[in-house]
Amino acid sequence: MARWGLVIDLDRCTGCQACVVACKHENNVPFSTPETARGGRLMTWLQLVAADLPGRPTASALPLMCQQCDRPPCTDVCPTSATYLNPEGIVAQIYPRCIGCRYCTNACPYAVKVFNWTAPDWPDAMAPMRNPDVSLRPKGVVETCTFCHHRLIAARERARAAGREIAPDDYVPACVATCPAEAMVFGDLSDPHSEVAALAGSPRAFRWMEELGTQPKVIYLREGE
Amino acid sequence: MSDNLTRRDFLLYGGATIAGVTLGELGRRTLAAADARAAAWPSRGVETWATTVCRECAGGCGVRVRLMDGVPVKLEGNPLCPVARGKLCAKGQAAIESYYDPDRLVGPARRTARSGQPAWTRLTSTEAIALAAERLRQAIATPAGIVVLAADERGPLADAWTRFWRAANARLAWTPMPTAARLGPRLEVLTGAQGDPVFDLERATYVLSFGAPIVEDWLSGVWTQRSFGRFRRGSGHARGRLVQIDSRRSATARKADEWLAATVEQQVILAYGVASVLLRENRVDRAKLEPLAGNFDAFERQVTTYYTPDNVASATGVPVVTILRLARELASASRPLVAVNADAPAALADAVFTLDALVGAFDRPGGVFAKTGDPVLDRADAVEALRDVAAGRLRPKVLVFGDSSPLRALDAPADASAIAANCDFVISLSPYLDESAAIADFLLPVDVAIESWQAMLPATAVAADLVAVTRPAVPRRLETQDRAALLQSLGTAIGGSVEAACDWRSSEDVVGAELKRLARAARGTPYATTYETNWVRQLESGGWWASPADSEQEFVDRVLTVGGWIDPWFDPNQLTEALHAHGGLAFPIPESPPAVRDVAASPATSEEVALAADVVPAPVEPPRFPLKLFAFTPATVNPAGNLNQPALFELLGQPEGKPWRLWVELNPETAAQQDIANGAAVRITSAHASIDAVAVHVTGLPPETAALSFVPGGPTDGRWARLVGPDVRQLWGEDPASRPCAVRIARS
Amino acid sequence: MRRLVPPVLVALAVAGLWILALPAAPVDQPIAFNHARHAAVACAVCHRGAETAARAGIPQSNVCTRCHATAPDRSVSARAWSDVAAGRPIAWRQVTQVPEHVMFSHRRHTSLAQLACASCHGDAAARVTPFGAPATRIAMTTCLSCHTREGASEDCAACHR
Repeated sequence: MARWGLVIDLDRCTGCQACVVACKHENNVPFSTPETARGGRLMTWLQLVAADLPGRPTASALPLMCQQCDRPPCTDVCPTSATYLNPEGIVAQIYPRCIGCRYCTNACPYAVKVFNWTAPDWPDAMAPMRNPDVSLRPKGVVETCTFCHHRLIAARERARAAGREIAPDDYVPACVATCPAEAMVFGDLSDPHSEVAALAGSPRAFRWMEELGTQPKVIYLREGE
Repeated sequence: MSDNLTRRDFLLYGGATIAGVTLGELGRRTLAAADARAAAWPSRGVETWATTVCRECAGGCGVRVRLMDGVPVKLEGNPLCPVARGKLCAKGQAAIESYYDPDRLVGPARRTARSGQPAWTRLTSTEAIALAAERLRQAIATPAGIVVLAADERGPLADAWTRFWRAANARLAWTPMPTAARLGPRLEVLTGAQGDPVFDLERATYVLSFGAPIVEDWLSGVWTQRSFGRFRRGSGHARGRLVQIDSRRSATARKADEWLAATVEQQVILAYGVASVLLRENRVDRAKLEPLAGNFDAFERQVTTYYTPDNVASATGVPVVTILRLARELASASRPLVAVNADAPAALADAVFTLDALVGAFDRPGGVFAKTGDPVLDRADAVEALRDVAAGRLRPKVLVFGDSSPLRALDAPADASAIAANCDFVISLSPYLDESAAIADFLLPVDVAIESWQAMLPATAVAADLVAVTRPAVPRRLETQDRAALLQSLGTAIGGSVEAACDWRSSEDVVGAELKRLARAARGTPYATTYETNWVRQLESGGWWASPADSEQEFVDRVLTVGGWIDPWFDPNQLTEALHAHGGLAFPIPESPPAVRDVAASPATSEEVALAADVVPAPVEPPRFPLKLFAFTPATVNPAGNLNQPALFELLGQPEGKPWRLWVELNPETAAQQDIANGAAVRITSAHASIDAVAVHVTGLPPETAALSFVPGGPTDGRWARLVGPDVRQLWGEDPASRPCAVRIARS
Repeated sequence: MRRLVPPVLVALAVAGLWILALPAAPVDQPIAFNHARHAAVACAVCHRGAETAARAGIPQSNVCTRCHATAPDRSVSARAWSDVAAGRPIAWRQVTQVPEHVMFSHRRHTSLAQLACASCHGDAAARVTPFGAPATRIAMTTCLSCHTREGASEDCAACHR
């Protein structure tokens, strides 16, 4: 069984935010307005946060999405099992089960679970650009990054239809696919020959807030020498 | 009860029951039909992909459009495009929002009321063309009767645009785009090579950058980002070190291993200071320089005399030890590269290329090459033309906007209504409800990028000849027009030499002619993988050319399918050859020591100069506007295309957690004096205006300066663009020379 | 007038009960299509994508006119046929739908898992009238029982999107 993981090399990352836009469009995340943003209700599954990292003169821009923890605090508190750790290590969110109690948004130390305070809304002209592979989340449920799980399902189906095993390039999330600085590497951590597994063993590797014991599968590579 | 059940009641209730059943059945069927009709969120349809070219900047990155049942849903990079290699930046990703922009202009229209509520009358394209042609015909006879402004670009479609307006006797000007082409003239002054510089960032090991926005949108955004990633952590060399000398803590300064704050003027002094240390400490390869020396001796004498570390330190505030260290680091790196921003003033570009020459970066891997052969750009500046119009120095009968790019420059007039007042008639070809539409009398919206035939020369970044060519990826969504077809219809309506200049009927013809030219050139290949491209390079350098196609039609189809054509063969010795031909390097010779400027004490506005002259000695009271304000445009702002893209506004003010906001960067100590907390709302006041922003503390910013983000857009723009504001250009009024602007900042 | 109030209330109550108590009504399809007479043709010939894509198509006029040069028989009215012959879209109503939060792929179930169309859509070959309602009721338990039996993934996220 694969264990999907993502490595972000902060030394390569330029903070250009192409990943942020790619994620937004890929996953039908609704747009905000200045008012919603000021009220802290910006809908985004992935955004840059300023993080003070050791050895850096100024705060670094850290691309932060669901860390896909191996010990996710959010799933422990979910009363309906709407969010759970799937066998491949992806922290999934089943929207019809979600009752919107927001225990998970409070339990998540990374604050990457976002609550739909309003029904998703696109101007009529923009409705056709929504991705039919991803559902529209109704008002009152919590949503979060799934490593573009729909891409995995589609990739697996394509590979099986072609009569072969899924190859590493078949499945990459939208953020990784567009990263112009090639700072993001995605793959199977359980495969010792994968690039992610090699990079995860780098002396520069660290996990965000790893002292909390959440065991994320998003691994950052430190900036600097 | 049964006594009371009359025959009449029985019939009544029986009938009611039957009516109820009938009604219920009807309702049931209506509900079922409505249910079946209800537009359920569709299950996945048929996925197809189409190729196009990103037009959000001059980079010309290849794009693949993901279509579900023929409808575009997502943009991805084209892996075969040598500029982007399958990647896209934030602007490129967001470009699909331009196609779907709910506020896009739906078709040609004429303004029917200028003052008060704007009112528009829709026109058919025939009416519109007749009307516009009539206006243009009247203006042709007058010198500078027609002024035409558009973003600068290269390629056959841009050439057609130029040809058309030249024939119409128009005065053409272009908004300069921040590409390598702008640095070409400076490289030519030093080396004699006519062409664009190519910076080999990927293979450099040490980069000293003078304000180059390397991680933002330097020269060709996506290409630079990839090169930066490989420069930092590439295989085969140690981690690249980046030193950024910048007036503010830009995103590049944040990423750099070291950031030195210096204004553009100070950067020039610093560059010569580093050069002087290199020469004094004998850290240049004189044996290599000698054959190409030119006026090297005179340069060495003057620079080492005037730009002593002490002089430079007192002029820039950068400590002597730092200047010495920078020079030594630069000289000891295996492949050093000195980089500069495309819109740097001539003095800075000259100083930077001088340093590149001294460290032996010319024609060296990880250094600077020249790409000759591209059209030399000698083009009037559209922003200047616009200022002339606003000031009444230029009064065209017809002003034509190809897009809104000149109105987005920091130097553009803040009050756009003055522009309309000095023209008889303003025509906008922009497809969006943006700044040019706001002042136009007449809208002739053209197709957006993914609806268009394209043939453009991407901004120079890759050391190769490229043409990005594609057919429309999707049918047009609204009643917009193909730009070349629009010109041709106008030409036919105007007649004479203008009609004769149009040797095309539509963009398809122009693109087709370009493809035929490429096919006949018998070199290069349609966009291909890196491996195949390298193979073609090998063959071509050996004098072989293997045709990639059996017939011209097959070649044309392949180029259109993959999105462009590349000739990867590149002569890496063009600078050396030019230097031999032109008698060596022509260094700029400094004639005087750097002026020691005490920034804080210099009076900031002419008003205060007058004040200082009257009252001598200066009173103890602090100046009214103690801070120097630099404005900057964030990299996510679209220079020429659509502003109205909500996903991009959400990126503003990040990673500081201030999406959608204008922010002003302040030194923490300066902020503390005013009791301004990080993230506090502040009011910035100048002699002309005051605007609101949010404060961000930046350690290392000179205490007397502030840096303010600028996002164009106004109250009549699209629904999202009008929410970000206000226009910070009000702060310095109509005089761009008063930048950096003197301001005071206080909590609001 | 007041005497009419009780019977009207009765009528409304009956109508309400009728709608609530009975299953959803079948919808009328524009053409009285006879699946049984077309049983010799494989499903995927007309329902394109049923074996190769996520979504199975619903045939449009061009599919009909590939075989039929003239109106098939009395079951198709002259007016309906003129629309088909002219290539105008046929207003079929889709009766079998998965909820929007489910990611269903036909290819995965038909060509990859070798499931017969009939397991979800009923025995179309035996039908002489067009489908006005889903042939079988498919709930999550229906999916799961098969997934359990066949050892397919029972991970929620494998189907929920």
